[in-house]
Amino acid sequence: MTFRLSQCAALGAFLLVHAMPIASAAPRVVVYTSVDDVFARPIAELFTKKTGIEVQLVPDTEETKSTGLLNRLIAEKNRPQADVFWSGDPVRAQVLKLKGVATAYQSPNAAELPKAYGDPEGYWTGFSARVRVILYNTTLIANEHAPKSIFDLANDPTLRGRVCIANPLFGTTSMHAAALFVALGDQQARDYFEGLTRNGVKMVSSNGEVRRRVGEGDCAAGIADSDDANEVVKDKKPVGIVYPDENGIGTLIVPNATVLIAHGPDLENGKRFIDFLLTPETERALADSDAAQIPLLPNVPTPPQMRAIGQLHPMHVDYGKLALKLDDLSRGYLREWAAKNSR
Amino acid sequence: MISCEILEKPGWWRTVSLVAILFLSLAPTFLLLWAAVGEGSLPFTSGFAAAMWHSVVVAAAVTLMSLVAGLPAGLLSALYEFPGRQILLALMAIPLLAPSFLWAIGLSQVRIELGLPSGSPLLAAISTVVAFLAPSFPLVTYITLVSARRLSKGQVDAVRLAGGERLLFICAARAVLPAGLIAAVLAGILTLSDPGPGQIFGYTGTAYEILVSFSASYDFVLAAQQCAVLTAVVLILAVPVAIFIAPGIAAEILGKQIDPAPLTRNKRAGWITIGLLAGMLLLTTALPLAGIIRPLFGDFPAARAFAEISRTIGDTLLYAVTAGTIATAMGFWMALAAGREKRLKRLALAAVFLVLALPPSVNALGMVELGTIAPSWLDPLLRSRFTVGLTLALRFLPIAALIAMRSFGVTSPSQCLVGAVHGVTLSLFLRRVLGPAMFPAAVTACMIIALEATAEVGTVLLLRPPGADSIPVQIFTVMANAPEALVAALCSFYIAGAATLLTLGWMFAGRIRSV
Repeated sequence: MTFRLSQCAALGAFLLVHAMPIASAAPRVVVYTSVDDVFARPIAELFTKKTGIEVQLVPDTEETKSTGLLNRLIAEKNRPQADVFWSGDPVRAQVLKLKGVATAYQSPNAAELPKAYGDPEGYWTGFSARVRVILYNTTLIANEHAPKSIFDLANDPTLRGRVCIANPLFGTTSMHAAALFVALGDQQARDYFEGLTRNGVKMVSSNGEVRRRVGEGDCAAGIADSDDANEVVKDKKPVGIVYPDENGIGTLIVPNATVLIAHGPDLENGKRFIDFLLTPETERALADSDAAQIPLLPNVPTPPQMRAIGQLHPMHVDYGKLALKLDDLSRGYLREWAAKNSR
Repeated sequence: MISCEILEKPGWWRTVSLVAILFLSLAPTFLLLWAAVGEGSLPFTSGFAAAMWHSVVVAAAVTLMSLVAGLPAGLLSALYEFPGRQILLALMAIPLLAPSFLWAIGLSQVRIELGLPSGSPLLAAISTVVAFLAPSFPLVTYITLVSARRLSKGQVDAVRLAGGERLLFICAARAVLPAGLIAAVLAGILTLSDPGPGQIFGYTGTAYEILVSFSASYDFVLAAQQCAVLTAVVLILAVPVAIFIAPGIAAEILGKQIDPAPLTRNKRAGWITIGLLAGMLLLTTALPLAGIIRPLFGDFPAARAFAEISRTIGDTLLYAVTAGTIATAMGFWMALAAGREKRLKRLALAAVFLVLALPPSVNALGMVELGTIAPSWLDPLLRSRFTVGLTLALRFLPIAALIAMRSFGVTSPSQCLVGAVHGVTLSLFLRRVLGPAMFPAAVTACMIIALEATAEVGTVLLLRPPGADSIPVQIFTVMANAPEALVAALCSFYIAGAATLLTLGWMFAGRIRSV
């Protein structure tokens, strides 16, 4: 057996060929998204179909096991590859604003959207929303005894050791935690989290894990997003859904948020994609998807299994403040809480 | 013309090469660590000490258990022929193909099915260890197997005549212990940088703390400092091991006949090996796999899963091949540079432990930073699919380096010296003598790295160019909200395809060369 120069050359050529960037003659827009691939990809394909602009999607997940695209966006700040960040929640969008990664863009299609779910300066715009809900296993908890408030999960002794929530340092659970601190004040929110600990809450890795555990009966109840709820019901698991605190602090609304990346390679196509995301067509598609997202535009029908935005009692929070609060919490109290409850 | 003698003589090129490879491997990380230098804050967040303890416990348990099971399994597989040998050994590789969190989710599902409690810290620790054992068992088994196949026919026959199979096992185990131990230590160290299973079972370690610093606080400096502490701990723990195994590696410098002993049939040994391999497969592969594919019994969205696999399979293979090729090339260069000098070997061992201890996200993010500050004409190198393969190669370079060092250790220096006397050039010696002698080790290294690289999600997630996902990344990004059946179908297609390819590849390799 001998090694020839030609074999080495062939190997070198193979590596070189693949070093080449993925070239495409068609106009394109690069979209980083923390919205789950199964929901984001059909929207991207719809956009391509309508405009002829190819969408190169780079999806992430809200699961806690990744370092995340947000870090990539921050690291790429000086020479970004992305044109748009489509976030599953407004907090990450606000982080990009604070880190100087986002640029302001007031889409003409945003006029009809409620101002409460967008950045007043136009650095991000909210659209189709999910809500934070309580899931409960109907074989373990009768419907009439289902928890009605997130505070029941911390205070109800019958739920002791039977509740799970996702790690509050990540994803929409972190946003929910920050919202509670903003809405309730620090002391009351801390009391709530301490109550959860006393009531033996199980901290799991993600909302998906909450969904799985409640669906399988490993936990009697838990807090997750409405799309998780819709999936678990669709999987025919014995799970009931509660919109919590309708007579109290209200239910947290989690709109999607779209961000135009400053100095992105193609700002014009980025703007066109954002315009498309804010159309009734996109909201309808997201409502019809398995995510069953709740439209924020007035004339788009809400999926039948969900409540319309007007029928909800929303938790009143300034989404712009949540990022700073979360930054503070994730270095301090929530980090300690998570460390204490992960053992 | 350079004489082949250079390979057996001291020279400045050795140290320069080692330092260059080490620098290349760590350059992206240096970018991030640089920011941490001069910062006054301490990396010890609340819970960091406990997390460190958890990490050490898990790493130690994985090291010990993978050695206890993997070493005899690898050794027996190297000495005996038994029914289903090729298939069992090929199936052992399956866990190397999938990210550890996937096995953890499968095990978690099994725990729920069995009605075991989730709150127990002991069960959480055990589950975390079992999830990590999935890729550790094959790593130790394979490296031990390759090492044991380097025992010569003469050695094996002599020991067999002197004391039968029992003595053969004991002597062979002693001979392969350094290789098995180093593989087990590598497996243990790899657990330190992976936060997945610990999070899923609620037994979080330092990797989780670093992840929180990165992903929740976006605090690169804190994360870098925590990485530095973790690396220091790894080095403190690994240096005694390196000193312990150094004599074993040094002993292999002696020239040996490298024709392997033929596999023999021994009913008892065969059944023991089958039991060991099957037991490991059951615990680390079949059990979690049962949990993963359980949702398929209700629904099987084959078409959609097939479409997703078709979209991503090309880039998956590309990343794996690129990583395997580059890491193997660099690892063998490293081995030649370290040569037979103890001091350089120890330097190389310290370097590989250092590289392995770093969480993959750190190097990947460093590479992202590097791509950002570099001019755009460097994009094909720093912002392409090649970049993903390169970063994965840098991550798994230590595996190639260790296999290569061992492979070089068992070649005879006299061949080179005789060649030099007869005027053989370096190039000719590499092509005609050393290359073919080290070829099986190179193939092994390339395959193991390709498998490990396929399973690595963090790096691909951060570095993939738009539109170039790998299959595990695709599974990872859909698993949060896709129907369980789709995730299960994707996993099934992926694992079944990989297992088929592995089995065919292994059987083909077995035909052309008794590995």
